[in-house]
Amino acid sequence: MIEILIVVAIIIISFSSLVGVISYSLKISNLIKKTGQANNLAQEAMEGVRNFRDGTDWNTDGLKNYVPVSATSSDPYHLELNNNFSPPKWALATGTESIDSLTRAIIFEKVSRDGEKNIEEIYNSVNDDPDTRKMIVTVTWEGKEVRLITYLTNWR
Amino acid sequence: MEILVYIGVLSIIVLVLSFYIVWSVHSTNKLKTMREVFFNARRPIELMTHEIREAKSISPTSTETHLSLEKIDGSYIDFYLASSTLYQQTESEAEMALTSNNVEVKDLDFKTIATGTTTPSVKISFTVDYKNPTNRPEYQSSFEATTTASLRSY
Repeated sequence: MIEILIVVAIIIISFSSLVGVISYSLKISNLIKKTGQANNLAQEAMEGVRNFRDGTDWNTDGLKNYVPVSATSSDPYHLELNNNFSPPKWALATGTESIDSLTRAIIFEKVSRDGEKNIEEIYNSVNDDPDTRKMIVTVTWEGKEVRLITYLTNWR
Repeated sequence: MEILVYIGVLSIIVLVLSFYIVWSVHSTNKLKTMREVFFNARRPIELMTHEIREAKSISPTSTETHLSLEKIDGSYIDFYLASSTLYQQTESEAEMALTSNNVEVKDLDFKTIATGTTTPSVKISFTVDYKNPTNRPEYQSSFEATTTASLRSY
């Protein structure tokens, strides 16, 4: 009788491990799918803001104005389509946006450069570069996050 | 008495083993399905965003379901949907399917957005579904792909 119990126990443990491996694979596949979706959305925000930068005047209605003068970082923004034009134009609106179960946010930060014009890791108001903004796009879901960072300049 | 116990235990083991085999086959199929759908969405997105960034302009012949891009060398590259398959075609080559026969692409939409006058961006969205005529749950998988790419031809 004891031998049977041992065999049954071994079989149960083996099955449990295999069930665990397959369940884990399914979970990982779901995560990859969600991460892919989040990456696409983060990339979209990057490209949309780049297009917004190209179509606006940096100093008048462009990216320079999205970080308050007294602050180093902006509140979250999100992209919207201004359908009053044909083709439509990108616009930036305050707040985050929800897409399916994902939340997307765009934050702008001021940038400073050292004597050799390299971007400083920590912002220093003395060396402020008003013609560069750091853009951080985050897409979050269920405690997970995709984050993309780039620098946009007043290149014209 | 012992034989009855042995038969009972053996029956339980065979039953559990059968359930396990069926479940693992379904789970493996589900994994394959999810992976295939994901890769069939990712590859076209990568290709299209790359070509948009590299393009000189968007051809005026483009529609919401057919994107035609003028490349730097003056040739054209097109992306469109035919029989639930996404295709790419360049002037000198035959059309090339970007998605496999196992999936169907739906709701393809190209939206041109132009904040500036010279450099538009293109919002791409489409859905990839696994072909599942028998409606079996392990073959149900869908991926909604949405992204945007901006031209760099300043």
